[in-house]
Order: sequence, then C-alpha cells, then structure tokens
Amino acid sequence: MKAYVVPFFVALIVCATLFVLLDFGVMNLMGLTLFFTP
Amino acid sequence: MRANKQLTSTGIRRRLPVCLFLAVLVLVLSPVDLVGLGSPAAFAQDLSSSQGAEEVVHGPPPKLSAADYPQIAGVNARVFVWLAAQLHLWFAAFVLAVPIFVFIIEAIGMKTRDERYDSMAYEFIKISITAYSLTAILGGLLAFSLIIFYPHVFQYMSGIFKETMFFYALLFFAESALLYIYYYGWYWLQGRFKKWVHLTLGLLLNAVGTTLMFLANSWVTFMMSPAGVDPAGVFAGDAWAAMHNFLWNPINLHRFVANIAYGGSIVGAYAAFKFLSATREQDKAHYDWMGYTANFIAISALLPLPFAGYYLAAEIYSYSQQMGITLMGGIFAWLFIIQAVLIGTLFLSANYYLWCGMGRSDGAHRYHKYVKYLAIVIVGAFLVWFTPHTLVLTNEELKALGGPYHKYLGPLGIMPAKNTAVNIMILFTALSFLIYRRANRVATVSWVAAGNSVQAALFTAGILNILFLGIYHGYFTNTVYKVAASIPQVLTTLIIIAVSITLDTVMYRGAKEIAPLKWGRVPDRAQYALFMLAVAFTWLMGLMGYIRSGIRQHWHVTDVFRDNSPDAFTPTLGYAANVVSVGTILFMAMVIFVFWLSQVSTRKAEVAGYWKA
Amino acid sequence: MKILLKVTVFSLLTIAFFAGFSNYGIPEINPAPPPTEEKLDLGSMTMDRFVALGDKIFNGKGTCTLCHNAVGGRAPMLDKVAAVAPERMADPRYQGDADTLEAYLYESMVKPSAYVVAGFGKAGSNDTQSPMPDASAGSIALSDAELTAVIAYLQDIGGADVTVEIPSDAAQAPAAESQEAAPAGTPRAPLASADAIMGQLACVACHKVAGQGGEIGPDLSSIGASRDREYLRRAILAPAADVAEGYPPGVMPPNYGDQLYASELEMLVDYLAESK
Repeated sequence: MKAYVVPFFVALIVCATLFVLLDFGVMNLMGLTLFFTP
Repeated sequence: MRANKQLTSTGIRRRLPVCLFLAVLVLVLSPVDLVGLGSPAAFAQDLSSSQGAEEVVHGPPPKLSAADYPQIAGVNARVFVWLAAQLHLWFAAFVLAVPIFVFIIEAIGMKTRDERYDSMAYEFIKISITAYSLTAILGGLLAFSLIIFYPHVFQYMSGIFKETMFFYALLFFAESALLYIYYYGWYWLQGRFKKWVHLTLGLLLNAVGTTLMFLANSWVTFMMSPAGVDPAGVFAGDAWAAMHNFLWNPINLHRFVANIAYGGSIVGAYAAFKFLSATREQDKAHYDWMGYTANFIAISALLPLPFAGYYLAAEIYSYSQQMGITLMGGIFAWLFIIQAVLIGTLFLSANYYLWCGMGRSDGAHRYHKYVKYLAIVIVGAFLVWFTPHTLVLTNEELKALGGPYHKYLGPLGIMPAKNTAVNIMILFTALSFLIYRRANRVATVSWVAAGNSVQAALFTAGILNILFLGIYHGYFTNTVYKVAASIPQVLTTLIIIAVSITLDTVMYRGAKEIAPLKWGRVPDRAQYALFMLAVAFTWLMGLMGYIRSGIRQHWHVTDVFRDNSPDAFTPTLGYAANVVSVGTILFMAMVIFVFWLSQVSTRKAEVAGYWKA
Repeated sequence: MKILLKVTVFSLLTIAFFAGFSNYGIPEINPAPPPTEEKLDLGSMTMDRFVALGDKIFNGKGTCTLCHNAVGGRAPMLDKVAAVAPERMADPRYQGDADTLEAYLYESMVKPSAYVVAGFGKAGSNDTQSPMPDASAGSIALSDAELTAVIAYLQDIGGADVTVEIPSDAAQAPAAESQEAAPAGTPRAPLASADAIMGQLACVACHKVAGQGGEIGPDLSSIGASRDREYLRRAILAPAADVAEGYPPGVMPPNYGDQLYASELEMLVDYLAESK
C-alpha cells in the first residue's frame, strides 16, 4: 500500500501546484486575476 | 577509396522520393500562414482589385419583394435549397475527411511495413470514390437550385466572389485527377520509391480538398458576417477582405476537425455493417479491426471539437453581440439543448463501444470493476450538460415555480456548469481509452506502482481544478470571469490527456502482452453503437448546419441584403428538426447505396450458357 | 438482407428519437416573423398612444429586451434611466454632447459608446466601447419616429416628463431607405398637412417652429403676430425679396415655389399666419 500512497500524495501536490500556476498564468494573460475582486 | 553511401546513385534514388514528399509538404503548408494570419500573399493579391485607378464596384444588393423569388409549383424553395446544401455538405465532409485519414493510415503502413494498414487504407478510399460523384451531383444540384430559386442572391454573391468561384470550379480538375490517380494507381505505385510518390499524391489531394473547402467556407461565412462591403452592401473590389471575414477561420478550423470525426464515424458504420454481414472468422476479425480504427479516428477528432465550436461561438459574439445572444440566449438557445442530447449520445456510444471492445482482450476482466464508475460519471456529466437554464413556461407555471428557473437545477443550466460537464466527459472518455489500451498488457517496468499513483494524482488534481474553475468562477464571479475560466479548464483537460497518454506509453514500454487481441470477439451490440454514432453525427451536423444558416434569420447577407422571400421566416425548432431528420434519412439511404455498390463491384455472377462459346 | 433491415430499423428509430425529442421534449419555440414596414398614423396619435408605441418597439422590433433584461447582466436595466441620466451626463467618462434627458436617450441609441455604464463595456476595452449596436442602422434600423417613441416610453416608465414631440409622418422612413417612389410620369399626391410640408422641406433645420428648431433663420413660432399673409407667401417663394434684419442673405433656398403645389403653399401660409 505504501508503494502507492506516498507517490500519490507527492504527485497530487505537484500537479495541483502546477495546475494553479497554469490557472494564474492563463487568467493573467487575459488581463484578469485568478480570484475575483469586485 | 571509400564509397560515400549517400552520394551513390542508389542512395540518391532512395532519398529522392522522400525529399520530393517533404518539398511538397512545405509547399502545401506555407499558404496555411496566409490563411491563419491573414496577411495577403501573392495568391490573395491577384484576388484584390489590381486595376489601378479603376474601382471594381458591385452592389448594393437589390431590395427584393416576394415576387422576385421564382417559384416552381409544389416545390418549397427554401426546403429544397436547405436539403440540397445539407446533403452536399454531408457528402463533401465525408469525401474530404477520408483522404486525411487514409493518408495517415498509409503512412503508418509505410512506417511499420504492415501490409494490413495499406489494404485498409485502400478499402477506405474505395468507399469514397462513389461518394465523390454523389458529392459533385449534389453540388451541382445546390448550384442550380440557388440560381433558380434565389437568382438575385446568387448574382450579388457571384459579383463579389467571381474570382474565387471560378478558381473553385477549375480546382476540381486537380481534385479529380489526384483522387483518381491516388485510387486507381494504388497497386501500381507500390514499392520503395513509388510508395513515396503515392503518399505525396495523397498529400496533394488533401491540400486541394482543404483549399476547396476553405473557398466555399468564405462564401457562407460572408453571408453571416460580411466584410469588404460598406453598410449599404456596396463591394469595392477587395475579394480577400470579403473572404477573410470574421467567421472564416473559426469555420475553417471547426469544419476541418469535424469532417475527420464525421468521416471516421461513417467508415465505422461501414465496417460495423460488414462485420455483422460477415460469415468467415477472418472477415469478422478484419472488419472489427477496421471499425475500431475508424472509431478511434472519430473519437480522437471528436475530443477537440467542443473547443473549436466554442471558438466559433465566441467569434460570433465578437462580430455581433445580438447574433451571439440570439444564438445562445435567445430563440436558438433551445437548439443547443438538443445538441447536448446528441453529443451525450455520441460520448455514450463511443464509450460503450470501448467498454464492449475490452472483451477482445483476455486480461480485461481486471478492469471490469471500473467501468460502472466511468459510466456513472459520464451519464452524470451528460445530465448536467443537457439541463436547460431558462425555462419557457406559461404564466401559471411561472407563478408556481416562482420564476423562469428551477430552484435547484436551474444553476446547472449556465455555461460554466456545461463547460465543466463537457470537460469531465472528455476526460473520462480519454480514461476509458487508457483502460482499454491497458486491458491487454501487464507493465514490466519497475516503477509501476509509482507510475499508477502519478496517473491517479494527475487525474485527481486535474478534476479538482476543473471543478474549482467551474464552480468558483461560475457562481461567485461576474460574466467576464465566468467566460474566461473556460480557457484554463480546457487547457487542464488537454494537458491531462497528453501527459497521461505519454506516461502510459512510457510505462508500458516492453510490456507483456497477455495474449494477442482477439479481433472479432466483440458482441454485436457494439456494432450498433457504431451505427448510433454515425446516425447521431449526421443528425447533429444537420442540426448545426441549420443553426449556422438560420442565425441569419431574415437576411441573405446579415444587415446588408434583406431576405424578403415568402419563406424568410425562421421556422419553429420542431419543423427544423423534422427537415434535418428527412435529410438524414435521405443521406443514409444514399450512403447505403454507396456501400452496396462497393460490395457489388466485387461480385462475379456465374452464368453458363449465356455467352457464345 | 436481414442485417440491412435490422440496421435500417435501428437507424430510423434513432432518428425518430431525436426528432421526437426536438418536437415534444422541449418547449415549442415559435420565432417572431420577420419585421415588416409598419405605416404609423402619427398625425392622429395622442401622447399615450405614442408611449404605447414606444413600449411595443422596445419589446419588439427594437430587440432591446434581448440584452436589457434582468437575466444575463448583459446590459443595464432601463426602468430608472430617466433618474440616473443627469449623473451620467455629468460623469467625467461621458463622451457625448447631450444636455437633456431626451438628447441623452437619443444619443445612447445611436452612439452607444458615448457613455458605457461601468461593467458593461466590451471585454478588454475598459468600459470605453459598448457592445450595443446603433439602433438606427443595420438590422434594427429604427426610424427617427420609432426612436422618438422609444424615448417617450423610457421617459414615461422612468417617471420623468415626456418631453418629445410626436413627429410628422415624414419622419417614418428610416434614414437608409427612400420613400416608396410613385411610378414614373404620374404626379405625386399633395401633402395633407402643414406639418408634413414642413417635414418635407426640412424647415426646422433653420427655423424654430413652435419653439423647436434651428437658429439659422428667423424664429417662426409667433410669426403670424408680426407678418401678414402676403409677406409670408413672398418669403417662401422669393426669400431674397425680404431678408430679415440680422440674418444672412442668400441662404434660404429660392426654389420652394417649384416644389409645392398651390394648395400646399396656402396650407403653409395659413399655418404660419395662425402661429401667433
């Protein structure tokens, strides 16, 4: 089980971070921020 | 003296066809820049008015009345032109798409030196030869019906597009020549050198076909989003400006990709039919493989299609807010609910076919338990995809509901929810495909556990991201953010697909095959899934064609040339659906005729006593 | 053969499902028929009827409610526009040149980018460009009379005074369209009222009539009090004969006599003589 658990969480954090960076980058390119401020 | 291998005559002979192919490839791709970036190249310059001080002026379009539209007793002009155009489009899509994947399959065959690919490619192109003449017949019918029933419209349009129409007509010589040599010369142009020549001809065939489509697209998009004419409709002579209107490139992209998906589905139906009719085991195996390949092509092209469609709709909004809002928030909005049902059908059929196909592998039972979860997610996403937002209610119903939206389901009707749903559907379809590929193999790399964990993490993170972008931006921000959030959503999906396929490919390098795939061991109902796919694709294309043309409403050319014919009214959605259905039935009948012909041509009747000895 | 039959039946059932859903599974949407030129009887309209006309255009031909509705947040709601208009005209972002509510409403319909309400501009234009089209052109093509009716309606629902004038019948034709031409060779029908004649000749372009109009020529609002019929007739037929003090000579066209029937001239003179 350990063989699955550790890589899963490590990869999850890495992927999640990369996706958030992607979101930031793309929204910025469109002149917007990731979180909406009215 | 050491002979330099590359400079020997055999060496040059070997490399020559490849170089020829590459040269043609470069030549063919260079105008893509012209079309994509819009900078007029020499070709386009010729189209523009190059007559110095003399201005080529055409228009303004005439103000027509009902009497200006010729009638033939008993013929509804609008429906006739509608059906002629749609039938022509269906066949043209097929005839343009097939050479694209035939070219790819032939190339794969050349790379792997597996003769089965070459025979399959030949079988595909054989189907499209008969379809080609039907395309031409329907094109002629369309042109005649436009001239007969809408002479003023045709005159106005040909005044603007006369050069491109002329060029279009002449280009068919090239298309025909290339198609016939490509087909008839298939078994003549075999062997090391000649195969490259044959492949080059295939490339040229595709280039010419795509050009023909791009030219015709410009006329149709001009009618929707005119350019190069002043508000009164007067054309000053710049044909490139008229061609390169707002919607031209979005339609070019959308139709190019959609044609491939569509062509794949029709060929898949052909293979399914042949599978069901086959009696010998090897025939069943052959057609099962063909169906799988065709379906694979169709689904691969289907996945990026929602994005091409979204781009098209976004450009419609940019051109005219009114047109965009009528399309998605006004009277045409309910058509997109019908579209949702069609797309749901496509995704469900495609996935069902994949799940049934897992039975070809002896190792598939390991993955059976996951299928029900995939099904639940895809059906759930489909239900969200097809939930409407604003309901059309009577006054009593409005009072009872307290408004035009359902309290709980209404929020699922807005675009961010739909974007989320479709991204999930696409993602899980890709997942089905990954599982299908894995079903027959056991990975032998040392890091299998870690690799699987990474795959799981990738999908989990991605799905969470898609949900975040959809829910947060969809319900807690304003319109601009709602729309913008769809871009990172799309990119997330595409990245996951690309990375997971790459990762799986690497992980399964050198993998053990449990047993060779048992092609032919697939239930009959899987073939019906392929028919469902073909019929749904056809009907969907008909529906979208209606929307594209109908959004002009009572205009021949939007805001410029008013439609005053007796049938200028926008019909009810039910009526439009019925015309599309009739068209689909006519098309399917013609396609069955095409398939039957290709079968009949190989039959030889044994007759004794007829011929003189 | 049996396979062909099965496949055909399956395909027909699939098609029937899609057609059935489209006909019975969704509400029946019956799009409005294409708009036709409606001949409005403006001459005999009361202000109430004119406002009602504005309402009809606002909800119909004008396609205003496509965006100006409570649903999508695509355009500002217009029920209170009469009240907020002065603020907007005073706003530093205001680019137009209206100074009254009526002028502001007219400008918003033909030059919508003169002022874009915050948050409703085209994406990326920072609220300087409006996505709204010019309502007097393109596929909406409201005539001046129709635009005026919509202004009246908006003034009315906003609780402001309705300040518009019901225009003459001549203002019905949209700018781009020409009036229905009589067949060549037949004389035109004589105009029926002084209003129609003044509309035809565009007198208010230079003269104030009933308090409204241009200032290039003398104010005719109470001309009947100071000038007699003979003078008025001569002023129309031969403007150079009596140029009013302080006004430039040679500006008024001298050929109105060629354009009017005798009955029309008399109608006009009567009207001016009675404007006291």
